[in-house]
Amino acid sequence: MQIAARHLDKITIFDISGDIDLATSPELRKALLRELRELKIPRVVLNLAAVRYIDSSGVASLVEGLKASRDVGSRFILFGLNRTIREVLQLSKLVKIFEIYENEEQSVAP
Amino acid sequence: MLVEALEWRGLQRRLASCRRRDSVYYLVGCCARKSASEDRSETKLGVQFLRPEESTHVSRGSLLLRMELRSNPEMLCVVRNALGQLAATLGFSEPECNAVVLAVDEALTNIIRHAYLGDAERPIEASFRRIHLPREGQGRDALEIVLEDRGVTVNPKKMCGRALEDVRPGGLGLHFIRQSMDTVEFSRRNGRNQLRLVKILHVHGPRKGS
Repeated sequence: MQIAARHLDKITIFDISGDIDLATSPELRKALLRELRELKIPRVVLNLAAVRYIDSSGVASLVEGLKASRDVGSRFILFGLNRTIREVLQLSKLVKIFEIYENEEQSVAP
Repeated sequence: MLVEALEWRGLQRRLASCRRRDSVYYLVGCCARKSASEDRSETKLGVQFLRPEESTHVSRGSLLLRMELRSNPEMLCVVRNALGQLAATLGFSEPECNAVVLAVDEALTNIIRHAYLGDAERPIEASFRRIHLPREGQGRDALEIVLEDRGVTVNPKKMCGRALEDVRPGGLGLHFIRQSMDTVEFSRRNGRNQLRLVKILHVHGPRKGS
């Protein structure tokens, strides 16, 4: 998994690629919590278009990010979910709790 | 096929009447083995005992792949890639391949986290077989996956996952496994945890040897 961060005004966009699993999810969790809990960025957006695989530990990291965003009053947004990622989120029954958009333009819109 | 619904004691008596230890019995969509240790975790309440000629078809499939790996999370992607190819070769659809890969990945994750408590140097054995299950009067081919570890004892009663309505990190792995596979069985034997997973092949794939 690779994570690259972009900063647009008060928005941080993480471009994530590869697999999010037990080996890589701690890195994602750390990046999300730093941006939300420490830096208190008002909007954190995850571009998941290049993610090939996500498991329960990856989903748990997303849930942690969501909870942290609620704690600090930020928005936590996902976009670019492919079929595989969407299936896993649906299987977890958590897909409805996330703010999900189709593309980056929608995700950063005011 | 003899169909019996037994409580634990009845099942214990029924198993005791069977001739061989470690015999294989076909259950309601799954298998159980007669336990030398009498471990209750290896039993089910709804049991379909096979006649001898039927039981020969169970768990005697051809070995497709066997892996011996360390409990290192870095190895998960290796297993996923190999298993994805294997499932596709057997004729599973793409969603079914994804389901099998997810289940095994989650099971290995559980072994690493819970049985080995994060130790990355402990052994895990994985075997993948094509088996033939008698089902509804007609045979069905299936992929049987057995994962074994030498970690701490897993208490099946505690392996219930969590309510999905409870939105919090963690606790999803077992839910994913159960949703993805047709059979999920935990057992403990000879100091090892064993997890047996079966995915039925609904569409005939390439035949053996093709």
